[in-house]
Amino acid sequence: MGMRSYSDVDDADLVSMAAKDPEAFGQLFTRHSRAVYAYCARRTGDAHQAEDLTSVVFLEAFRRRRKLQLSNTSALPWLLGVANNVTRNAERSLRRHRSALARVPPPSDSASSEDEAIGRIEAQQALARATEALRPLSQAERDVVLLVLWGELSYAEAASSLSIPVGTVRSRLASARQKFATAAITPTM
Amino acid sequence: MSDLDAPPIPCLTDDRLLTRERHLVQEIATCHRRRQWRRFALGGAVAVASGATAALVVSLGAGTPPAFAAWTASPTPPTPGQLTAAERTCAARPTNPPPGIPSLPTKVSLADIRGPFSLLLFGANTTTRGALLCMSGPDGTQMSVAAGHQLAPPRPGQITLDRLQAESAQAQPYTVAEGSTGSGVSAATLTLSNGSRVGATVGNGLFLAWWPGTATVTSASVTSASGTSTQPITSPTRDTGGSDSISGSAANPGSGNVPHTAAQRAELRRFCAHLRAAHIHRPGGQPVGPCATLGS
Repeated sequence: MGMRSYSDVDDADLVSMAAKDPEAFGQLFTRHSRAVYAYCARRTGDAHQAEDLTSVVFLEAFRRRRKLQLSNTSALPWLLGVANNVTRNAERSLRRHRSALARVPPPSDSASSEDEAIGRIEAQQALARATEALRPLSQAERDVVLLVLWGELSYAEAASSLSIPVGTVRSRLASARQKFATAAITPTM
Repeated sequence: MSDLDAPPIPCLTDDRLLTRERHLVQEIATCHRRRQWRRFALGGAVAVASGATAALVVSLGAGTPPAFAAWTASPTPPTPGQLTAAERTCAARPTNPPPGIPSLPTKVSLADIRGPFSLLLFGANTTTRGALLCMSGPDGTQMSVAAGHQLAPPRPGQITLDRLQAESAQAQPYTVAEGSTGSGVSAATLTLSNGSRVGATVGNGLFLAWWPGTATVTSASVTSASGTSTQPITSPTRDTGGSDSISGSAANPGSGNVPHTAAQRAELRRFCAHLRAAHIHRPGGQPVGPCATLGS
């Protein structure tokens, strides 16, 4: 019937239900959108663009849902894998879904406090610094830093996200650490 | 590197995330429209209106379950010709209004489309002329009429639920919600008593939604220019009587309201005679709803 409470439904079932029940995919969004948004924001350094990219990630995930093979109960590693691909070609991804994004209702212009505004500016600046700090790393090394150190995925989950062996995740992370140590970079994030 | 902490993220509000979620669901529903329409057989109707209602089964298909497989929780854009076909089908409504209702509205106020199901609202429950709801599916159409009630309009940015009506199709219940929107309301998502959420169609100062099952509405997320807010909703109670009411159940004739006075019964007889003349009846030729209470 398509109507139900999704609290007891795991991610894999939500994805499989989505074709007949779009609300199921909405529930998946509810569960993981903040983590996907955080990944997109840290990847691009642009919070505003990250919001649109979060929508794109889920639209792309829905399109690719038949390829999903969950290695555990959480779809987050898979979604972050989609996010990784989407953000690598952010401009192209946004262009592809331009018409869908145009239908997103605009944010309300409700007044916010001065403290909130300052907090947003500071967070945006910290985000920009973090993106800059990743510059010495290769693309592959950034991937594992974003997923393991900042995304809090396990090595195995990051390996699943990137479709690479766990050992490769370890070696890329070690390489990233080495580069930071060599460059004597001490990020203040 | 080991002390490389994750940088803070600019806050994304719950309301903004909800807006994005509703957009996602809408996009999926639109892009992945059910191609295979299920037959829509109507088994009866039970009125649960805040005002007087009369449920009519106009035509019935043989049907195969599940009746609502193609239902979507968010409205979908109509396919080419869908609205026209629904209006044409709904035009088969009776020309005479049921007792207690001066005339049947003829103008569509709002159309709620969910996959192959078209729910058209003629008039409004809050106007003196009353409202006519017409649900049109691939193989069946069901109508219900509500007397008008002059209700206070909602405050700006809020909604009121004017009518909650339970129906059934092929022994599967569904519920229709009709209400009014305050100025500035651009979207509304209803939260049901079972925890599910249903996006409503909003327009012309009205909203319309329906869902499989018998859940009632407990709250609504209402979007207006000032943002999205959640407001509690008190669902109208089941109509248990009223001198001007002729609501009843086609599935369980007589369970609804029955006219009490001789004048009302005479009026109902005239109305039911019109239904017979128009070949409006339940499967097997059984009289519709309150007409069954009159006997032969």
